[in-house]
Amino acid sequence: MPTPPPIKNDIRRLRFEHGEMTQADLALRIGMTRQTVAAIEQGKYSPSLEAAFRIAQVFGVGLDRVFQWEG
Amino acid sequence: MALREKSAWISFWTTLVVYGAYFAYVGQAAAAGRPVGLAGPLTTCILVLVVLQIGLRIALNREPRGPHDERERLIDLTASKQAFYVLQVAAMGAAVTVYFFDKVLMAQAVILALAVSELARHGGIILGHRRPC
Repeated sequence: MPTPPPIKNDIRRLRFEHGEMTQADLALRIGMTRQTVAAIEQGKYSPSLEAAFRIAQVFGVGLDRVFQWEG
Repeated sequence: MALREKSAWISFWTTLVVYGAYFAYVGQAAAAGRPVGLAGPLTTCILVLVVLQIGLRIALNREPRGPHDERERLIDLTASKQAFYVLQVAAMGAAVTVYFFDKVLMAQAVILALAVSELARHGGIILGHRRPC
């Protein structure tokens, strides 16, 4: 089984701080499926740079507030 | 379950059941020494497969089907790449049957190679949705 990428994220907390936004809402706003948002949030999938910027844009924060390198 | 994972499960099981029944028929006919035939049974098999897959997708997938997102494209590509390797090995196996069987059974071996690689692709998509990528 592939090792999960060494990237931590704060998407769950950011969603909570933004009116308890659901995964489905976030997925709709960044043009992805809810399952992909769930996989990103659980650290099972590293999104492309474009998707990462879209997520940061939705929350109105910088990329480093959303994703942190743990390697 | 993701819409495309559900579709992959539908494709996997329908391919397994329909081609399983087809090759059971082919195996029995070959073992009994009856002429196996190709066009008729294969056309029937493909028609049954298409009707089953379309019918089940309509019946089970009620959500609207949007375009693939980047993760789904990656899963699809990875599964297709792995299935291609399976196809290469299976096609080599089918080519070897030329030394042992007639041309109709060799054609059946090629169809078996295609069915196995198709199963590998659907299986790869299902696994891709369930593990980190």
